[in-house]
Amino acid sequence: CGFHLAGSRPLPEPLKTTYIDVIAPYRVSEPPLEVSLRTLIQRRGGLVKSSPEGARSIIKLSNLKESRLVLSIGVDGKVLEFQLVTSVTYQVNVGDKVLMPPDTLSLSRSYSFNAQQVLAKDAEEARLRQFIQNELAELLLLRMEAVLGRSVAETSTTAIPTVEPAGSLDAVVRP
Amino acid sequence: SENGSSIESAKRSEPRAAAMCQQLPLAANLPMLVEGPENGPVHLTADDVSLDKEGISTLLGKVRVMQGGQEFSSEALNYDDKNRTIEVRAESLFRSKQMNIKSQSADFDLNTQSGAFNNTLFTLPSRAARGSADVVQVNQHGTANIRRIRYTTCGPDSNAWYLAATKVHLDYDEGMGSATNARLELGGVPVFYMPYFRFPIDNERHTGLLFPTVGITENMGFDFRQPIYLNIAPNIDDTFTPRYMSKRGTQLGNSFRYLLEQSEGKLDLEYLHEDRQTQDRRTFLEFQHDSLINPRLALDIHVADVSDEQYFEDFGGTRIDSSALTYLDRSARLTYQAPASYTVNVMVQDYQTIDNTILPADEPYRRVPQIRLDALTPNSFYNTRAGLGAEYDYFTRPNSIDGQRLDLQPFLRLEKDNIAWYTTSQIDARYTAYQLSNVAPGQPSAPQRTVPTFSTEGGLRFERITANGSVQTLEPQLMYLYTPYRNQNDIPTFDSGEPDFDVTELFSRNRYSGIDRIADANQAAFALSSRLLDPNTGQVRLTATIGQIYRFTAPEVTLPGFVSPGNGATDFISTLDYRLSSHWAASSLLQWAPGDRQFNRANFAVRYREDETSATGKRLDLVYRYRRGVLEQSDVVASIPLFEGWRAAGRWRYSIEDNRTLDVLGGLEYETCCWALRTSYRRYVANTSGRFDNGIYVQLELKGMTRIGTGFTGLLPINDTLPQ
Amino acid sequence: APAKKNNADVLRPTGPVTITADRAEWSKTGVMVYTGNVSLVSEKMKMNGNRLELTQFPESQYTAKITGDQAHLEHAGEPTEKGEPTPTVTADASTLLYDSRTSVVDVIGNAKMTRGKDEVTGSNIRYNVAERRIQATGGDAGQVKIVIQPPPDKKLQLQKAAESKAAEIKAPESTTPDAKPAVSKPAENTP
Repeated sequence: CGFHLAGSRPLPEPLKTTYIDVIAPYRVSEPPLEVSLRTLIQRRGGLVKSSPEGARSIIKLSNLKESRLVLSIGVDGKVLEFQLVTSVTYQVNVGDKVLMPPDTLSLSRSYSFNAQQVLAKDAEEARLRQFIQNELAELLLLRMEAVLGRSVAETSTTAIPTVEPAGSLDAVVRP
Repeated sequence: SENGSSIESAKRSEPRAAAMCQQLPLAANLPMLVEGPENGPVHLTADDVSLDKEGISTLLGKVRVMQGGQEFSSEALNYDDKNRTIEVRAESLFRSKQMNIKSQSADFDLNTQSGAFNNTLFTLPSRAARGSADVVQVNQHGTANIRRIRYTTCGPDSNAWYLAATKVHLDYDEGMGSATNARLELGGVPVFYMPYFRFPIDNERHTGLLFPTVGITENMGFDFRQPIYLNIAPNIDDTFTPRYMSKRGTQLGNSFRYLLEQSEGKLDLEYLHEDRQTQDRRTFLEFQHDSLINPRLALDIHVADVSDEQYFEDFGGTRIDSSALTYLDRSARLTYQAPASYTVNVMVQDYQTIDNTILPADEPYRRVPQIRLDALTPNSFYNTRAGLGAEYDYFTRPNSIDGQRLDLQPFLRLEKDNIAWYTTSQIDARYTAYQLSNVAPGQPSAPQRTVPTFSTEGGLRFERITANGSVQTLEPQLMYLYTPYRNQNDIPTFDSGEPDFDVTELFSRNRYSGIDRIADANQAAFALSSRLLDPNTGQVRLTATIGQIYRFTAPEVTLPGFVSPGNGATDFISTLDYRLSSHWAASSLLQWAPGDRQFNRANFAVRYREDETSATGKRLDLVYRYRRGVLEQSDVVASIPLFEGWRAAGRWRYSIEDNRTLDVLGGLEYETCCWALRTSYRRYVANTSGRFDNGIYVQLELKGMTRIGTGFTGLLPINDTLPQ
Repeated sequence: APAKKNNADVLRPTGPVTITADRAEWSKTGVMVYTGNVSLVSEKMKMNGNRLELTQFPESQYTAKITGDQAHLEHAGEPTEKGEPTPTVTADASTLLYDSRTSVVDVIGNAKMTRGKDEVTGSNIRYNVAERRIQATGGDAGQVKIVIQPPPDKKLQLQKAAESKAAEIKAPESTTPDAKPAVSKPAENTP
């Protein structure tokens, strides 16, 4: 049915050496979103620098918000299911040019609540938050790859029309 | 705070700010005011001018006098150059940065930049406010006194509301206006008299009244809240809310916020001295503080406390679903991120249980403290990284087993990934030791457990281009998990429990959450997931996953009072999220038991979203949720603009299983550019005996009379409870 | 109009009028024509230009038409009983037409007049020398424009007022030294 093993697509130019700038006031440890985004980029052969100098692009992650909503309630009015909602605003700059304007990504998952196992549900919630942030990192990389890949391809074609466009999408499109 | 449970609610989408009203065109089709130095030259133009000996000039015909960013225009006026005064005895328009005044006669002194205007119509462009007044006196230091005034922010064609006063004083430096013996007229009918009343005339944060909320509910009777906003300092503010409830008495509410160099926080208090119904004192407190002690050390504190378990059931609480909560978190957490790659978390956490149906023996343990260390070698050696999870806890609970627990989990993890396939294997040896007190006689007081776990996981990644050019991925994953059996019956369950069976649990390395129970396992987990991507934006149009676990041997480790599952295949678990169009999206989750051929869990949702934050935003959610033996409910959320400024919104949570509505919330809102009327009705299960509370609330906002930016979140708290 | 005539008598400049020019010519219509940096000086007023046409009338009345690329008039100020003297008045235009009988000067052709430091421009301006009154009307070339400079001492006064106001504003800022610069954060998550 046309499926083939995913070829190793090179990362778009700007992501080859990048810097992840997380704006999270009052937070010292790296959020799982940043850790898994760095792992995904490094896995694809990219280099994630520890400071903006020398980075070709800067991925700005801000207002990373995790909230817990009461989803469904029982006949006694007490909560039966919580919903975890995690949202983040991302933006990608190259030098002072904004390659990807600010946009938000949001994911949610629900889980049942058991008033007799509060500490256990607390641990389950922490594991879900981790899972959601890892998935957010994957979605973010997919978006950056598509948009940065395409815009780089376009600029390179317009700049040197004769040269075969080196955009990554080509590799994918040509089965 | 990021982790730790609290009654923090969802992020609030920005309230829809209707544009300002169309302005009274006093200064229409006149050229822009030209800025000029305050005591600069005076420019006069006219069709006819006569300048006599004493410096008095009379100007006739489309006369304009401009000076220091102000301008007079009229058909006739006199200018006395000696005293630099302007005298207008015909209709004239005075324009300045702050005000435009059309008057029938006026005198203005250019030296003192002050003047008097009689029989006027005026507008304040920055607030789209307008009015009429017998006398407007503009003073030197950017203030104005106005007599017998009618002031409103409505458009020229509407007299929806007016503030009429015998005297108003405007101070532009302070950005505030004050009215003396003022009366409020709604649609021409005087409804409110105020001897003295202050209101903002610019967009800054100002001390002043926020708009009141009036309501009637079964629990509280007549309910009137009048918040007062106090702008204490650029980084500190406070909202004091006296609240009169006919069935309960007068409650004082206060919300104090601060922003310091490296910290930020909020303190909410509610205090009712004597509840008319229960005769005792009812209080609520919530304190949140986040701070950075240094770039490597962060402290966050969250405390929530109510005077009694029924508090939210009687007073509804600050957030819409507070009454649904069964406990309040109180925790303080220090997080240290070392330059090397390890993190230390020190936490003390306690809970206040606010559900009277929960037995003390089931209440959560207090962790005073919990110290956790997580370390992982940054780079890998032959794709292998070593790590350590270490945790010390001291659990305590009244008349229960108390205990200290030390858990060490060193592990080795091998990861290899080259796009087409990946593999991750991990082996860890977990050592857990307890020191227990007031243990039942004959039970060991220092049980220990050492249990290794081995897991290996692998996955392939396939891709293809579909007919319409989208990229579709297909990723099979397989994991084998082995954990030998260890008898853990002597170990109390401080923080272990059974999580939902979900896609997130397929590849977890312990069937139980928490540390007190490490499930024995000899199983294989399989999952197949697929994504459909839009090649241009990289946005995922479809995500689908299906998975299952096959247990080669039946696990034996159980939670007290639970039976452990047999061997063989577990239920199938599958999720699907499909974006049908730019507005419509559908999602489902199914947990199918092949043996009993029945669903143990099923969710279906259809969602419609159309630019939610704009005034014309639309939203519709149709959701069905089923968990065998727990709930079968429908959940409908809608928010639609009706016609010309009307909007309806609502939420309806219905239990199909019990054939009963659990929560219905309806709101109607009429908003114009200068006022808004909001009503909402809510009927919901308020307490554990299933008694319903219902109430209706009304809120009138006169735009321009209150601080700008007070979003409408109170009455139609649709945003508080919405699944995204 | 007779009434106007007699108070013009009272105010008519009494002193002798002297005219200097490079050349003078008597034309047959009884008009004297002077050309070449012409100047006409009377008691308080002097006018000069490139060309003067003088027509004389009984009782030493006359009309003088002065033209030049910029004919110029200057009418000196005079002391008043109290307060400062009336400011001197000047006029510049392509044509100045003075009639001693009416004591009025018609200032025609991109006319500009100044009174002290104030300035009046307009298509056609008429200056009544006796009453020191300027009358200007706009024409198709646009309205009359007047620019009046603020008197120097008044400027000082205003300066002081402005400074005191500025001082006032600065005061509140300094009372909260520790507070961070105005941070709008609390306003966002409004209650």
